Amino acid sequence: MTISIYDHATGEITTRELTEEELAQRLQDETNFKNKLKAQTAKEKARASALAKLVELGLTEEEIAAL
Amino acid sequence: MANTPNYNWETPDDTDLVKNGALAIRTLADEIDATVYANVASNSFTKLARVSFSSQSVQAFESIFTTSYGSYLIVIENLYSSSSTAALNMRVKYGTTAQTSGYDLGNINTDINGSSVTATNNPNDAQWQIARRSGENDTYKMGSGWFIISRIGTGATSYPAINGQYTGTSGTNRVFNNVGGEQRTGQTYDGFDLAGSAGTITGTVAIYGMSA
Repeated sequence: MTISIYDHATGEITTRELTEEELAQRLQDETNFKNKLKAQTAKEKARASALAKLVELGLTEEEIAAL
Repeated sequence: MANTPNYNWETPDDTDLVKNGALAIRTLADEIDATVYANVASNSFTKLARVSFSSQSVQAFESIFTTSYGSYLIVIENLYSSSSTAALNMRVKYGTTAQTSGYDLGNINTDINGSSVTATNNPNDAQWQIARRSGENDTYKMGSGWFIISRIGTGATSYPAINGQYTGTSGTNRVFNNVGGEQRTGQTYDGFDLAGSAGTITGTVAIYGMSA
């Protein structure tokens, strides 16, 4: 994994591999994101299911949007 | 001595000697130069950098926030991630060190195709998640946006704030983000990192200094 660094003081762009510390942070970030995405997907699925049930109860789209 | 009506620049009189003309022109030019320079420095956007990058896990901008400006406009002209579901994250830096805690961010985003509006609160997070989708490598689906960072580059301990908007698409998720956030850890911040939450990012970003 690489990082590109633009240094405004020199105007130079350098590219290097992530350091061990940066790599560990990066992997942690990816794990955290996967967990967040999983939770978000579950929430959206529950929302879609709830909306479908409201439609089954006879609510119109306009009425659901007004909730 | 006659002077101009607006900026009071000094001009020669009709009766002045021609032999003093060179000095008069130089004096006038110096006054114009000083006025224009001062106006540009105090009343304008200044483009500091425009950087293109390709397939990077992290794109860093260092030594970009200085005491010269009150706040900064970051324009993401185009950007996409190699990962279809990746969000776009930002971290502020001090020196070469990225701050990895203390980020508060609220994001209200609309998924245009899904006809949904989602409000997300990310208190005390490890980064600002500035967009729910980074965008895809497609002229129609690339991400783009703008963010203003204030309370930064003061040369002393500061607590930056971020505000902005970003649109990014992946698959059928066409997501428009409206974000605002703060950093609760004080530091002498002078740069920032951009990264996708997974995969690599490719794009072009411009940074402008905004005079106080």
